[in-house]
Amino acid sequence: MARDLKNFLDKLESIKNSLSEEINKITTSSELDQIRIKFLGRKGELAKVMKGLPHLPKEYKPEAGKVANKIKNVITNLIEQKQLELEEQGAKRGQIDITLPGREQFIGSLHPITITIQEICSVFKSLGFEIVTGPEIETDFYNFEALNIPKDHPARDMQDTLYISENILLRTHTSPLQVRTMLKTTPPVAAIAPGKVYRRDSDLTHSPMFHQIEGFLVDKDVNMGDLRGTLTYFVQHIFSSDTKVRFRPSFFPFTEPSAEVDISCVICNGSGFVNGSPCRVCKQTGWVEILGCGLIDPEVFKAVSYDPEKYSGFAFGLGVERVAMLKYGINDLRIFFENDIRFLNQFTDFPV
Amino acid sequence: MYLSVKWLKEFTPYDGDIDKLAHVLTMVGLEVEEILNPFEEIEDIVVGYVAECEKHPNADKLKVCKVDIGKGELLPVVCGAPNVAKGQYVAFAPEGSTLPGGLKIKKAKLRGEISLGMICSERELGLSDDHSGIMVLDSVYEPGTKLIDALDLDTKVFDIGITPNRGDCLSVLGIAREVSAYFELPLNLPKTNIEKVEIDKLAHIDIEIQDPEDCPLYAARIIEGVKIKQAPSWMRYRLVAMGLRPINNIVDVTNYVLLEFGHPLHAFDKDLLKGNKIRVARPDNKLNFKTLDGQEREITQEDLLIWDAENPVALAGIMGGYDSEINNNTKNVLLECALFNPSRIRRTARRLGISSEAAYRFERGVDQLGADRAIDRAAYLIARFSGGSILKGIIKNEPKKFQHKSILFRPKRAISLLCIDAKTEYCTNILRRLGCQITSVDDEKVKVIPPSFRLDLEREIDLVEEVGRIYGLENVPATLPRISKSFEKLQVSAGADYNFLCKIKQWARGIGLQECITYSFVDKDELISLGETEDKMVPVANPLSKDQDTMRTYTITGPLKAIKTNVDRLNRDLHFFEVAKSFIRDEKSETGVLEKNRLAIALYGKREPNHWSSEVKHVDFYDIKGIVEHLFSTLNLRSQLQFKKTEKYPFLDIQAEVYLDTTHVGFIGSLQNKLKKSYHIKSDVYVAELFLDEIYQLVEKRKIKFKNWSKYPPVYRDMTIVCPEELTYETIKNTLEQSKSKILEQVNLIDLYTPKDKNEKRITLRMTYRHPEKTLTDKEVDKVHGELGKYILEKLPVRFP
Repeated sequence: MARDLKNFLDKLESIKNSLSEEINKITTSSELDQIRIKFLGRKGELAKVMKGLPHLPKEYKPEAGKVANKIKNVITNLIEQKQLELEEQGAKRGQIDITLPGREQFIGSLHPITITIQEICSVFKSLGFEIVTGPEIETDFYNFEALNIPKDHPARDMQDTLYISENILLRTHTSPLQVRTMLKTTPPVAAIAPGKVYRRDSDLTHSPMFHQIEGFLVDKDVNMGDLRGTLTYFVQHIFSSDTKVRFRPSFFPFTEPSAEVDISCVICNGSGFVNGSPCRVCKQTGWVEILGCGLIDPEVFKAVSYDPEKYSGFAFGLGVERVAMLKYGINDLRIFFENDIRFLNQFTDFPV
Repeated sequence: MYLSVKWLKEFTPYDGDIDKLAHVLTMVGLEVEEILNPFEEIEDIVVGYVAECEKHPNADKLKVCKVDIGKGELLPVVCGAPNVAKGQYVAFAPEGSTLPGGLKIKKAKLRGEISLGMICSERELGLSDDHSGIMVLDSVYEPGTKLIDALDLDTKVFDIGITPNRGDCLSVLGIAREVSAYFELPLNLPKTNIEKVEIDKLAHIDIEIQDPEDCPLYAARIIEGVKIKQAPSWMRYRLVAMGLRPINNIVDVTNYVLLEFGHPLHAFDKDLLKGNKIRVARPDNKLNFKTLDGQEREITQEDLLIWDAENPVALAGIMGGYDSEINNNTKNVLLECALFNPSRIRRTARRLGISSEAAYRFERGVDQLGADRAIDRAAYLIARFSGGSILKGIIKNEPKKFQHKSILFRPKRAISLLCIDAKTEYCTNILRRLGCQITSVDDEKVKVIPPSFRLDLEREIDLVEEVGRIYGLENVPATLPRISKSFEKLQVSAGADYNFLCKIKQWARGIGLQECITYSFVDKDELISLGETEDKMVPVANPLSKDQDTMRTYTITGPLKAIKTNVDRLNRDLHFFEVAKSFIRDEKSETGVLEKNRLAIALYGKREPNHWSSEVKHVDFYDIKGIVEHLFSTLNLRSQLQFKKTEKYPFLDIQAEVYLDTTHVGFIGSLQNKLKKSYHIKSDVYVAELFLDEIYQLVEKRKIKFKNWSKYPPVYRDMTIVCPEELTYETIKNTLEQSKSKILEQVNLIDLYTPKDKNEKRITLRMTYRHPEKTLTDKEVDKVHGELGKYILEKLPVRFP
């Protein structure tokens, strides 16, 4: 009877041996799957041997069961180990070419005018200005009369106007927002108004539609120093901290005193020369005009019923295209409105 | 305005650097835009002395000269001018020089004779139209001297931008006043001493003025016995330098004095005026009038005319009349020096499209007290150049005398507004230098009477500006204001605010769309081709061109235009958006126009960039729809989103309206084939236009509320149904969702198959089942899924395959 047990145990041992032999020959996981089925499957080698277990004499059964379990574990471990081994090899063999192009998305972009507007607005917001917007088609009152630009006044020559009808026009500047805002509130008020404006003018340096940002502050004791400080802060944040600011007296009907603001040319750093040749942007003057400004004229206060003895204020208006051209070194105004993607693709980063 | 530095120095003895002068003028508000040399083109021309002049051996009309240009040897020159003669000093263009217009002087052989240069006429040098002969200089010069030096021409000319408030600076005198005030230099006016040349015959003519508001002053002088010829060369060349064309010794003087003093003058041929009378009046009826440029002008009752006893003879302040102008036979001159209403002059000049030096100055205001000086100066010069006699006295009608203004000025207020470190005396001193009279009122105030030429100084703030101008705005310190706030929310206009529009743009950029910015006006025909009706359109009354004659009613025209431009330039795969206004006629709104913020999107070409791993398809309807769905998911409004079939948009093939519950917020669709051609588009274009103001209102109202979710796992079951092709997915989905099954969480479409030749489609849906409070068993789910199947069979004309 001991022979029956020995026979049973020998069969188990030979299964283990043949497995060890076969498993060393294989190279793929599908072959391993076959081996798994062959040895561990419901009709596999081990199962066949185990069918003999119930026929063994009772006293040998515990011993035989224990060994059978041990062999099963060994076989399972060998297969698992081989599995890991194959996976590792597989990973090495199937390594992908990481230099092939990835699956891209189209890159969206904001128009450089939008980027410039958002950047400028952020600077003024950080100073405490609020952003307001208003209509692009305006009445003569908001665009001219209330801004101290009466009919038949030569100041109207400064802005060639596109009209809808006698008293309705495409706003020529964002300044109507001064009037609209002041009529809606009482001082203190600090606001900026970005938007499209229109003039009847089209050539290399003029576009019939362009963008402006109007800014104004009305409170007690606002003075030219505040204006200069605010604009210096703006210029140095938008360009660089060493950009110089120059105030030059000028004339706008809705400000007095009025000034044009020049900044040191950002193309040639105010030297007048780029790599030894004359700077075309500032025409060698070292300065470029960037905006108009001044203290708000008492006539404007009259139109909105603010007391000019009690309050004073400043206002400024800047051309967004001008700033964008200087910032990015763009030398053709018309390119902004062509929307060639080779232009737009250069402005994929975005303001926060 | 052009200003010759040399001329300026005749008025005030500035002897500093020219660049510094330009800088100072710029910094007091008279921007020197450019420094020009009007005679740059004749820099190379020198004075030549005709040492010999012989007849050309082989040509009757030519002469062979020997010209000395100070180089030691005499140059042989062949000259065809009739007036060339030995002993003349002439303008000589040496070999290698270039004449105005680009003619390069080369060594030449004319009928066998060598010629090493050219003796020039005035016309060849751009100095006048005279080409009757060579220009013969009237003095003796060192041969070889530069012509521009010999003639002492105005070679430094500032082009100054004069702002509309500074009419007083539209003259040499005006700018000289500023220079003398700034540098504290004396001001020297040209002396006329006219009393010494007037003859003892009293000038007389009747002057009648209809309305003193139109014409506060009309003054005249009479010069008899003039002889019309060229003005002296120094005056002619100076006018050329200032960009004017010399005419004759009378007209040139009026122009010269205009540039000098800024007061426009007009000279009539007195013998062509009927009756001894001048009348300043508007016509009773419309009439036609021929101005001296030969044009017939239609004159209305609003235009001011100068009349003789019978007829109009000049368009007041703008242009003289054709029939009374100075001509070669003029003997007697009536010189006019008047003042006209700026607004009236401006209206007429604008309406008739005339821009004259005179109108330009009258519009900006002329110094009434300077009239005598100007008319005397002109009469004096005319008499000097023409041999005429000035009759005694200025004939004058001045129904409205000049009133000096008186302004109370608080120096301390100027100091605080300008934020400058200055004393009271400093401020008043600046005003005094500028010609103001100052008298003290009390400790705080002074009374300021501005000079008659400074019509722009009317209020205290105007004086504050003057102080700032001369102090130098450049010297104002920079301080940052403390910005105070109020509690009230500042909102100026309704509709989407700036932040919302920024958000939309950022979203669009983020999903790979490129922003374009296009003009708000389009060609009316483009809107018509989109099927827009005229009653909605807002035409521009004075467009620059036809393609900009109407405000766009659809914003989508922008992205389509951008596609057109790029397609023309062979750029591909275009995904544009634009955030801009549409403009629709609306009589109820303030401006008669309803302005609405809109987002327009247009897709053209590939859906995504090409990739080697798989074929990339072109965009289709579900791309544009997906983008719209993405937007409303982002805005947390997806549950309200609906698309409704429509046929409202004549320019779209496939089309749908976009709704958020009951609010119409836009449309999507594909561009019609016949329109593609006009945008140069070959394959399909899908567009969307969304109404941002309406969407903004809903976003403002929207509240995001946190909801907890079930902790238990979902169970999925698929269902394939066969249905008629016309049955929409939305109907099926809504029917399922309305089944009121408590555990049905979601219905998703996972497959759609339309067999060929059959009017039906197979739809496979995946249901997600989940219970809020327990794990569902297979049995429970099978039961509900089975019931759902029965329910759909009952409700809709569908079957299971």
